[in-house]
Amino acid sequence: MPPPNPSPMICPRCGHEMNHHAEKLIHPTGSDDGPPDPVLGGIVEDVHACPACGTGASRRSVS
Amino acid sequence: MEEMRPLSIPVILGTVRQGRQSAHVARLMVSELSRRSGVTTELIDIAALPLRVDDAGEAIKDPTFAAQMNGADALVVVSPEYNHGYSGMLKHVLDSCLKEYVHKAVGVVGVSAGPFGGARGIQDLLPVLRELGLVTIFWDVHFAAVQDVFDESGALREPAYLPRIDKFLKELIWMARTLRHGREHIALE
Repeated sequence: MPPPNPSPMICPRCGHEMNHHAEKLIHPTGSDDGPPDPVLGGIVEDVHACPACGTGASRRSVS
Repeated sequence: MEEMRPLSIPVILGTVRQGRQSAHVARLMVSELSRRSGVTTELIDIAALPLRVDDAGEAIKDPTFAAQMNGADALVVVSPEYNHGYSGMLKHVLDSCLKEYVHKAVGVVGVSAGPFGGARGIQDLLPVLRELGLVTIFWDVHFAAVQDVFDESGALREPAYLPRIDKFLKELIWMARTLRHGREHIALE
């Protein structure tokens, strides 16, 4: 199980701490995407939502 | 606080075909959603989106459409059935986003000129919506023989559709509220 991202994600819209609610497996389509996870077969994106304003945001999972 | 923010539930008109009867359906869904308190809606016509066709996926993401999907709590997809499938252009548009959809509700309104109300296209669309991260509801609305359902001005001739739409929207709004709470307050463990 990969370790969690070291810091909470901050809402780009209102600055509130966001809630990490999903991990989405994405299949890379270009060299800019980096190498896929050898076990999962893709890249894991952490998906967050802001409890204050509802904004969604995501970032690459740290593994 | 969260209940003070209205739910955003746009309606996607999923066809670019000339003379499309699905436009009447999409406008009806916007009208019915607009009557609900605590809900905002808008019509997103995929024919009006400036998406390239020489590439696909997130590489062609349109910032305006992506912002609409990011801000949405749920989607209504109006999906006409063409040759037993959903519209290729609808798939092209949906594929342009991904993370924007995760843990959001979606309901599908099928449309056909024939007797099945787009049911075959809906069945094929459901696994696509799931892979995009959307959560499908168990109510659909099926507009069969759509050319007979609306008059030339787009007015609904068949009032029997209204209670079906009511059930569909009640379920969609419940799912949208529930998923919003989950997205914003329940952390992945």
